[in-house]
Amino acid sequence: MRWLTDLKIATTNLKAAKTRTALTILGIVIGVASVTAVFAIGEGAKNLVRGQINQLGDDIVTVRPGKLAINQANTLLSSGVLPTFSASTITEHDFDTLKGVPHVAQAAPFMFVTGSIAQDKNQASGSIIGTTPDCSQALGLGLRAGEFVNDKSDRQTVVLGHQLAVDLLGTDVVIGQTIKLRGQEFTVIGILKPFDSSIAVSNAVDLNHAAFVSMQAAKGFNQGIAQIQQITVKTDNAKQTTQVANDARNALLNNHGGEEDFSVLRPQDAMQVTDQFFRAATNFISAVAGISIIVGGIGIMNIMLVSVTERTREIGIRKSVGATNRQILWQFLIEALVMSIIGGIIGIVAGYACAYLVSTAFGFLPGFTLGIILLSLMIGLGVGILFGAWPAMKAARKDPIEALRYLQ
Amino acid sequence: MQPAIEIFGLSKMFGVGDATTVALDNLTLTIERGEFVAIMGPSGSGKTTLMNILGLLDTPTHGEYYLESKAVADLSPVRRAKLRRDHIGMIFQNFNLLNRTSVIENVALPLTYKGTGKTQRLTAASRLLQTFGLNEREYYMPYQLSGGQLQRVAIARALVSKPAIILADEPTGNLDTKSSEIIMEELADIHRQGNTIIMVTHNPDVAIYADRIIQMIDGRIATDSKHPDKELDSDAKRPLNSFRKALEAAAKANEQYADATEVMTESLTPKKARKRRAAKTAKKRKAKK
Repeated sequence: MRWLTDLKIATTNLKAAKTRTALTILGIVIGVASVTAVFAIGEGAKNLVRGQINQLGDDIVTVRPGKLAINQANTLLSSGVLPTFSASTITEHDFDTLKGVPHVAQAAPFMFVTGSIAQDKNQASGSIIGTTPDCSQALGLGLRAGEFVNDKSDRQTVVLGHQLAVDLLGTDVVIGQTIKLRGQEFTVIGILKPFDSSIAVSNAVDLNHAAFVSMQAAKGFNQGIAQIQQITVKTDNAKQTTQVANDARNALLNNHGGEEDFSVLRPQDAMQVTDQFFRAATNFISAVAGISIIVGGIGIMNIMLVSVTERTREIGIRKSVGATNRQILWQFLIEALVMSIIGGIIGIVAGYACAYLVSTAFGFLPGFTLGIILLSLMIGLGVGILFGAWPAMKAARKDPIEALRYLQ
Repeated sequence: MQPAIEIFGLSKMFGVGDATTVALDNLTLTIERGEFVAIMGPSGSGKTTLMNILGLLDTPTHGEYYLESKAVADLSPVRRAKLRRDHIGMIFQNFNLLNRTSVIENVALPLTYKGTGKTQRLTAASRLLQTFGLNEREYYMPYQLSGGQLQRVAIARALVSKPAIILADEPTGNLDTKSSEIIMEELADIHRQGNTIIMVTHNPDVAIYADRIIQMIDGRIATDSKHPDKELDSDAKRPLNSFRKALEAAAKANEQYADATEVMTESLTPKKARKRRAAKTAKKRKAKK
């Protein structure tokens, strides 16, 4: 029960200097809150990426132009430059080759066309994507109404993403209406279900804002030449994904004369860039959060040092009635710990509130795990011990005679 | 019966080299159990240093110290803290109570450090406060009490762990005459119950409550007068005449010493001279009062 007495002494002393205690706790709150927020947002982002892999299914292989260098420290910005500035290295012939790879169920090309999407004077922002009928199956796109693109039709037809239809026409009941893509008239034959957009599938394009046309129509915008930015390959068996990826790579290498100017990505590969981005961001913000927690700790140390000097006489009295150095040490250390535990708990709550605000603004939920809470609490406690120890030792080492002589 | 305190050849030096001051000079002293000893002497004569060493707050430079026949001069700080807690009760001139702690918790403080359970230590503190007539003020804060009451709280704290010796350093120094008398009656009572009390004082009126007076000068014992008939005399409220004579003699010796130092002043080192002069002015100020 000794520690209970120590705890009571500590709380009494903390209550006696309310403002000072509150300000010190605030320092710890800010430190722990920032750490918690960073961890929670990072965890949330990781969950988001993982969720997309799961949602996408582990049976998808994505082929993109350009060599994506993975597993290097500085890959963050090195990918995607080639496909942006030069013509795509993937051809319709590659698409046909991929369809022939064993265990491939469906393959769907994406040909991105830049251009306006309009009806009368209304314009909406979105992407025009040329693809094949297989696409809806390969990506698991559900139709809210109508049918998907059909390359056999000679008409100029388009399937709209749900949000694009609403933005452009004010409603999602638009089958049969006519809109203009790059000034050409297209008839809406289908509306997609709202789609939880996945970075890996769509190459960072929001499918809810996409207008799907047939490859034929897309090539029509590009002087009859196909410009494929992505081919999504769905395997018939999730266990074969790696096998299919290897086969696809070999087949394409064959097509490209041994030059690897494309990337074949399994879901986890495709996620790697996103993952790396989040990790780098988390690391950076963690460093900032770390600084704030050190500042909080120095605040505790500062207050404790003042407190020790102010209470020199009290220390002398306690020692004169038989308190050992260790008991004095504990008294002051417990004060620091009480402050850092209270600050830690408030900080975790505040950190989660903060993480919630930030991450919902970006469209995901913060990760809420016991590990993060424990870690934040441990950091708070660690700061209390680390920065409370020196003042407490100073108090414990005071000479009782000198301390009793100290004038208050 | 074994003595409460024995010290042999005890010396305490402060400073190093030429700046060395001798606070206690080869002191040898035995205090029996149940004695009420008053230590008198001019400022700088080593009284407080002796009290600090007896109270295990300080360690001697040389010499031996036996507390209840146990050598305690060279113990570790932890052992000394524990002895202080369990065997020594200290009473100070300025009370030295914790300002932010209630009266009863102040009294129970030594037991707190001993690890006694809350109920037990508060009961013990409460019982003691009752004997001092303070049972209605248990949960007052120290600033709500008068000086005399504060000193009684401090005495209760000194007694709570049933110590072997009680050390009182000028217990009436901050009190008016009436409160001083009450405090001294309390101490005399405690003494009659068989406690050993060692008290430092400047005031002869306070010293007469003791049954042995030690006069210290320059870190040495100048006179040590013990009243032969007063040994644990529980009926005696006032010291007998012969004892009063010894007391007056001690006071006289003190004054003579002060006069002698004035003549010697020139031949002393400046530092020592300053110290002696300070002692003398303090004495005069006291006389004026």
